[in-house]
Amino acid sequence: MAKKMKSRASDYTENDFPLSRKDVFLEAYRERFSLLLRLGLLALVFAIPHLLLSFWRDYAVAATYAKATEQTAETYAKIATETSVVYGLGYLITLPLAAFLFAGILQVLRQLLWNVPVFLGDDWKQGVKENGWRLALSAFAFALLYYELNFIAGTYLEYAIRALVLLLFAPWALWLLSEHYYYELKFGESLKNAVLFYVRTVPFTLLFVFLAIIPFWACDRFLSYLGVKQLVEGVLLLFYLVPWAMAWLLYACHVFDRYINRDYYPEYYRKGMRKIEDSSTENRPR
Amino acid sequence: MATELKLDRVSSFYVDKKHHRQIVAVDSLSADFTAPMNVIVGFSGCGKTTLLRCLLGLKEYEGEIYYQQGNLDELSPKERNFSFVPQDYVLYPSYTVFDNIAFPLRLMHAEREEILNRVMEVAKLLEITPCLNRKPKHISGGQQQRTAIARALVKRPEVCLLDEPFSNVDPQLRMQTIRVLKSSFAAFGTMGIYVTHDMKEAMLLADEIFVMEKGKIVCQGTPSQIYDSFVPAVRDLLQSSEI
Repeated sequence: MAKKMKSRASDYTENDFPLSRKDVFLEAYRERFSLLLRLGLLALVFAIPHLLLSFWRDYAVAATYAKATEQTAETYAKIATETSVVYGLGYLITLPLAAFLFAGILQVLRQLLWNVPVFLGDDWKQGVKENGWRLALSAFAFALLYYELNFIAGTYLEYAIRALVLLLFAPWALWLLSEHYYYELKFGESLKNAVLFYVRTVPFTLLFVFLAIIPFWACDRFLSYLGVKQLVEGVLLLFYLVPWAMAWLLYACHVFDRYINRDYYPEYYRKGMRKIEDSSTENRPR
Repeated sequence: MATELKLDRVSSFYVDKKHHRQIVAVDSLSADFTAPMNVIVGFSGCGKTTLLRCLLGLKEYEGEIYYQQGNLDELSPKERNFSFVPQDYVLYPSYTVFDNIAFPLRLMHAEREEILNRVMEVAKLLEITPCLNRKPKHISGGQQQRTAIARALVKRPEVCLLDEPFSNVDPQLRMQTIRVLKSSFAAFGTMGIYVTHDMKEAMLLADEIFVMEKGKIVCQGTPSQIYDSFVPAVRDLLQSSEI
């Protein structure tokens, strides 16, 4: 006889929906772990061209270093720079490609966090169709900047540009892209809104940007053994990137609820969570 | 056109290899199922579940079964547009309630919009919309049962066979689920063939009751006709159900 399925003592109703964003995050992990793992696997697959490119660069530099005794330091530096330039050119293709395909993963996550039925294939395709080009364009801009930095490496200008990217471009792009997962906006409107959202949420937005970039930067900076860096990056893509994206989307929902949804989009207000009466006027937009 | 299922001298056997004998489970049974909700009631071992399995095409039988004036044998189990609600739900534990209900439609390669609309429609009828994104272990037994019924109804079958679906549901919830079941079947125009050993359930649910004993139909009629019947098997069932 089949084992009897476990069940709750009472009916599951809307009053049992998660109360806070933190509960939504934890519940998604508890109940849909296999889906999150599949999304992580997709992220890893989409990043394979980039990981291979990265491996090639490290291999080329390591191979050159192995022959360093036969060459002058100047020759070695020249080859290393040429390799980085070629890598940068390759990066212009692999990063936008990965971002383009990752757009679908964000769409699936949005559906999951909204507590609506998830169709993995269809939702992924819809996400790529609606927002793939936006993510790809942002990634291309980032990759182009990275490529250009090869030619000013070691100068103060390089550090200034890196700081601008980290403190201005990346946070603003994060808000710009997130808006389009929830609203249909004209480009000009979303540009302006992204600036406003960033200005109102600087500490948390920067925290999310650092949480996204630092693990991968640390791999690039500190892992020197051939292949180990790509392996660790693969593990990060599999287990870290999707939870990060989920946490970011939840935070974005929270901000949108605070400034927009309650008055203008009530159907999105606390979507996926337990509805509560909120009489507070403290956070109403002016 | 109203659904009609006619059984003409249907028999089915099991082989008891240990004692080298044949056990007759269904014994030359003839019946016409035409009412919206037909309930087959009888004690355990009378052949009710075997009869259901014959109708589903899962058990060999002798005799004829006619469905909408055609012979049921000419249709494979897949072609029959029947659905089945087993006694122990058989929900996929790793799928959400939505995915469990949508499963038959996915097998039919239905489009996303159609799947979404049909599942939402049947979930609303069976009052399980809040738990669509939960796994079966996180909902109550009654909701699990309604999920199994929703899965059976989502492809809008012409006939739905139910094998003691409420045996694991507590009596209070049973009444509520019976009400929901009747209205859902009526909404889709599905004919129900419901098997139970509980006469109370039969009285509440049925438009037509078939009392079965030792593989045969011994009495048939509306609930009030059954209640007034003097057939011994009927009296025994009424007594055991404390009616």
